[in-house]
Amino acid sequence: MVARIAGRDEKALAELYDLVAPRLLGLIQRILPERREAEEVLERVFVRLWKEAPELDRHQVGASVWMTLAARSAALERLRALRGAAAGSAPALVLPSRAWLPRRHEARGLDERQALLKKVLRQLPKEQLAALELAFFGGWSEAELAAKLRQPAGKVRAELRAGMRFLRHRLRAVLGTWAASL
Amino acid sequence: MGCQSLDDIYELYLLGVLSAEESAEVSAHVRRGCPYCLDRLRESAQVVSLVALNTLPAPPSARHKAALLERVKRPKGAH
Repeated sequence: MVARIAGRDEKALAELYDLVAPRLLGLIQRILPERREAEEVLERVFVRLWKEAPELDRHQVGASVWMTLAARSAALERLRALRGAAAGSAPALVLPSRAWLPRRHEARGLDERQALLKKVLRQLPKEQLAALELAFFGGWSEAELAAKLRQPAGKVRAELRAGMRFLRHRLRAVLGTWAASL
Repeated sequence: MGCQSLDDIYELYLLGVLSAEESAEVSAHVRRGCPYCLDRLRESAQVVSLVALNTLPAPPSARHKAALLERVKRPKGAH
């Protein structure tokens, strides 16, 4: 799909939109509940994909994870602009290349097992899920999370690490990459 | 900072919860481009993206898609 979009195929962009736009808008609205703001951010994400598709294609990046992270990042950026200091202030990441983004086959594995992975997410202990969601959808830094959750920073970090470790191990099991990663 | 000591940090780095100093330290490490770190970062991006699964889909309005497609058709600089 990214290859077709990189080739300026508008039909491919429309097909991808039908597949992922509702999921992405749901994610953006968790961060920016106001519909008009959220739709503007969604449009920005697709326009960015359209512009960057040739480079993403060169690195064989899969669309879904890239779009999820781009949507989150764009929504948090807008939230910060709207609320100023009241919004989460975790630093924006500037990575030097696309080499850290999941490849097509990795993103495909994730897409194909989405229902199972949703169940995995629900298996997370409540405190860990709460901390992860506050960080993901609120964009708060660790120090800000500690203040919001009224917990010591060390405990917040421990919850976040444990939650991510749980998800990582389950993901390896679900994707069958456990042995390969050892 | 050794690569393996970052094992539990990559996800927090991509999530953006580290302090600016810690984040800069990991960025400097990542820029070395070692295959182990890049593999773990690719995996971490997938792990972090899982958190987004806990949302309900929200279909965009009917005119949204048409407006988007119209926008990408316009040549650069056109209004």
